[in-house]
Amino acid sequence: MSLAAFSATTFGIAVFAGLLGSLLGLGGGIIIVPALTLYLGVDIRHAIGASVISVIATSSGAAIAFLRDRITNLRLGMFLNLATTLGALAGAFAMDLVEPRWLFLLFGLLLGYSALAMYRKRNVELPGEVPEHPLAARLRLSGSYYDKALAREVSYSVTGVYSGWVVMFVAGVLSGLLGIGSGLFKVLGMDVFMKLPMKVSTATSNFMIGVTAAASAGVYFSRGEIDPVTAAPVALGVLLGALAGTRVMGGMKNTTLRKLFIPILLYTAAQMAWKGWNG
Amino acid sequence: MARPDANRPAPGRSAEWWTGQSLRIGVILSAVLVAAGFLLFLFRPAATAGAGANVAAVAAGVLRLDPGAIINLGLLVLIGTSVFRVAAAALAFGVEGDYAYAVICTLVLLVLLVSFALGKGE
Repeated sequence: MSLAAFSATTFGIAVFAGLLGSLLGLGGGIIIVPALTLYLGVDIRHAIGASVISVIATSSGAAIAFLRDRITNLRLGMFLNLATTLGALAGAFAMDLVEPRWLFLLFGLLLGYSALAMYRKRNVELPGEVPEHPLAARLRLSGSYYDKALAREVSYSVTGVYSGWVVMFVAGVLSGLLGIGSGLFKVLGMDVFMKLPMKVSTATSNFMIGVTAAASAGVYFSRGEIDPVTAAPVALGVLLGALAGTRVMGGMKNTTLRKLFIPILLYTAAQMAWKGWNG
Repeated sequence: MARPDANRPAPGRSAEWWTGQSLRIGVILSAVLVAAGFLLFLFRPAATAGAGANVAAVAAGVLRLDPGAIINLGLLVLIGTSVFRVAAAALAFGVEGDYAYAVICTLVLLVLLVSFALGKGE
């Protein structure tokens, strides 16, 4: 494959990854890594390096618009980021203590169960009346945003602050240990435990994943695992896709986003379980 | 469509606005550098010798107009937006008088810096 064709293909894949990632609060690694390694024959280390860049590009690109439109809950994002960054740090230390195999199996099952929980509320547009957690009230975590699809202001309360924080810590440990699925867990934590509107969950997850990824990006960079020739079309494509995603996301229904999210959840669950099963 | 913002602080003064602006500047700068470096690379692929895996090496490469180093500088700026947004939020919350969140953001920043420092030691 010529250099121009390789770059154009990588760019195209990256646009798609950025679009999907910005809509669903994921980093796009789930698309970038298999596409680069299996389809384009990129070395796995460079593919993972490029996917870390993709996470940051999705996060930074999408956050500009989501912060402006106040879909991202900045207070909640920062409060939970404390959990994920601490978790990632703990994960880096736990690397030698646990067998990744059992983690893959455990979290594969957990994700599968979460997919079921999400499927049950596939037609629920907004969480409705949620009892506000006392800590959420004290920290002013609850908020509101203007929903373009519903054409009205949506106010929401935050519940499950402690369980949400624990899920975020675990998401951080996972991204430190296994390097995948941290965006998925963040969205799940906010949607299932803290009962936020889906849009707020994905946009806030989007904001958070970049911060968590920054620490590992520094490490990959100093190891020389971020190849500029692969990472450049990925960064530019993902930024473009993420900007496009923020344009369409406002007008989409929460139920549509959830229906896009469930298959990805199932796919990742199967992938993790498979990795765990085969060691 | 008019947006009902009456019961909110003016967007121009909020922590969200400041954090968003800091991201916008970083993302544009990064995209320009990465695109420039990549175009340079497409025209003369042989010019990239060692793109550099640390700030000093990248800086030296950029002075030589090495395409890979220019891309890497853009990627470093992009990675920087992730850290910088936390600092911007900490500052903006502090200015707003929201000290609890200024402290939370500063703690996140500290944990990030510790991770950076530990990552280097590997």
